[in-house]
Amino acid sequence: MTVIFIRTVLLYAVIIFAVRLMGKRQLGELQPSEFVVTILISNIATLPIEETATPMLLGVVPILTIVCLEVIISAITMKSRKLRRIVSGSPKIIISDGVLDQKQLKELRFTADDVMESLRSQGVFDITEVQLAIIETTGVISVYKKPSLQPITHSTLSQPPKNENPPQVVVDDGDVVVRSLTFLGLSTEWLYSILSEEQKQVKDIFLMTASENGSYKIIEKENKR
Amino acid sequence: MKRVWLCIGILGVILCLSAGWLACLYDRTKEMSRLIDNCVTLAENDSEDTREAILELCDYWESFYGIASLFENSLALNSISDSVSKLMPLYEKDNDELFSECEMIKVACDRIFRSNMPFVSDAIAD
Repeated sequence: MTVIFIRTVLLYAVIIFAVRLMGKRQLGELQPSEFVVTILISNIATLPIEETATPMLLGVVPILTIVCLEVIISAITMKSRKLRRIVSGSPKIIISDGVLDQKQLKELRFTADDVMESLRSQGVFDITEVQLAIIETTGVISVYKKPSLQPITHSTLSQPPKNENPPQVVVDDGDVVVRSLTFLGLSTEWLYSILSEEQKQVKDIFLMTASENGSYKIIEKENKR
Repeated sequence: MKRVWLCIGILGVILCLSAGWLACLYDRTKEMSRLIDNCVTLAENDSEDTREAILELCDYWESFYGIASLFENSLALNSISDSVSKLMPLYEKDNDELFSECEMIKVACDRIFRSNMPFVSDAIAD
């Protein structure tokens, strides 16, 4: 009994350390790899607590190994967009201008009920009110209502908004996101012409968003400033 | 980035610990095997030194158990401890089971060492 108590206290401390090591990112919505890590840790931690014949180290070593690998892989994926897509997947558009993309839904194994439930939880009861709905890599559905149906703000009082898609990320940490450009009806030529006007290079850009009307916002990498 | 270096450090420590334990296990298993062979040879020749050899084996196993219990399942280690504790009574009764117990200890130690060797086939089979 005392042994189990001491082992539980020690493993509790190890798990708290492991979760702190993973950082705040893991405490919010879970990415697929983070979800796997969480399940594995919870299972592994119970073994040395229940089985007193199992040495504590046999529980601590796999927990720390999994957490360390997760942190290292997430650091590597920060550098590579391709690897990030392999490990975490990419967000998928399921509703565009009020039209449901059934093919995408089938591919994601989402039912219409799942989508409607998620829309309702965000205060949307009519699918035609949605300008854009995206399934994030965490499985959460983000909804952008048509601007004409959004609450009035000071900026929209003078000029009624058009039903346009929200700005998309077209350059992500030095990588051109061709998919977003295609979605906005823009081309890479347009992007490079903007960058040449601004006298900037793609590799120096941390984030660039663009809208269908051609407006854009550029945030340069901090170490380049 | 601090976290990444900390994780690399932790992984490094784990790898060093694993390699160190494997090297220690190799030495200890080899020494156990030598002590067992010594006991068997002396017992077969009815030598007076058999008692001392068994005591030496028992002492060595005690120290081996202390380290091994940090890394190995205690069920496997306890079965070896049981066999080691039987050696002296068996010798005193002049019982031939002494030889089979010695062989059992040797095989069990070897099994512990083999289960720690990172062979792909073993990793899948276990």
